[in-house]
Amino acid sequence: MKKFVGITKCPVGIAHTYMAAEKLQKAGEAQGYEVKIETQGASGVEDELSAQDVADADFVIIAADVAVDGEERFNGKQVLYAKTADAIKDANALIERL
Amino acid sequence: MQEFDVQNIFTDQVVTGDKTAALDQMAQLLATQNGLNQAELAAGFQAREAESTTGFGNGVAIPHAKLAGLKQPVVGLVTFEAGVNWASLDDQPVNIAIALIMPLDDPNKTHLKVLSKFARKLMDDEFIGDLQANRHDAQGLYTLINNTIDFN
Repeated sequence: MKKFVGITKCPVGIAHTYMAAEKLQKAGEAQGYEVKIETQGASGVEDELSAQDVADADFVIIAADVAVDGEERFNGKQVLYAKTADAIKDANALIERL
Repeated sequence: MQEFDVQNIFTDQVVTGDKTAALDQMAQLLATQNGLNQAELAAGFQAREAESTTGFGNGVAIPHAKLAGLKQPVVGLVTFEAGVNWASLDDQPVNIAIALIMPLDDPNKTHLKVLSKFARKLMDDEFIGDLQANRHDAQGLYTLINNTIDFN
């Protein structure tokens, strides 16, 4: 199954991090992807991406307004950088860019 | 934990101006209702808004702020009689604003998890449609949100 992973992170970490993650998850699944999105929010990291998750992914989407933690996990992967707003506004368009 | 109360829902507010005026008005309503520092709350809303718009589309915005000394989060909901220019992601005016007010340092991750679930729910078009359908009815909004999110 085709798969992508991602990270979302916003300045305050209570709303847009999760809104963007939800949009990517829904849009990805609707397009037939297995999706796992790590959220780096005020309550810490949730759904943390393992090395296996990353290895299995065809590509990575980082939708963040501030620097994310653990970006070195994606060395050698195709990574699309975007803002949380891009994912919230049109997650399909982001996914289709890859 | 009482995070959300019908007393924090204010429907059909009249705003003169754009989102700056709307945010100041929301800060006044919610600060008065909850005994918060109005100036600090207004500054928090405006600062977050300056980072990027919280209007995420479909007529809904989610302004938020962190306040020092706050014991537990406050969720407020303000609807506007006429759409407010919010520079939203879809360029449409906002007629529902959901305010999330968080303690500056909150060791209680339960609060944050509840709010993050709520934020995810806002990506559900059906839920947004239900919010819009109830925007003139505080009790209806209260029931709708309480049925959707477990604040307890």
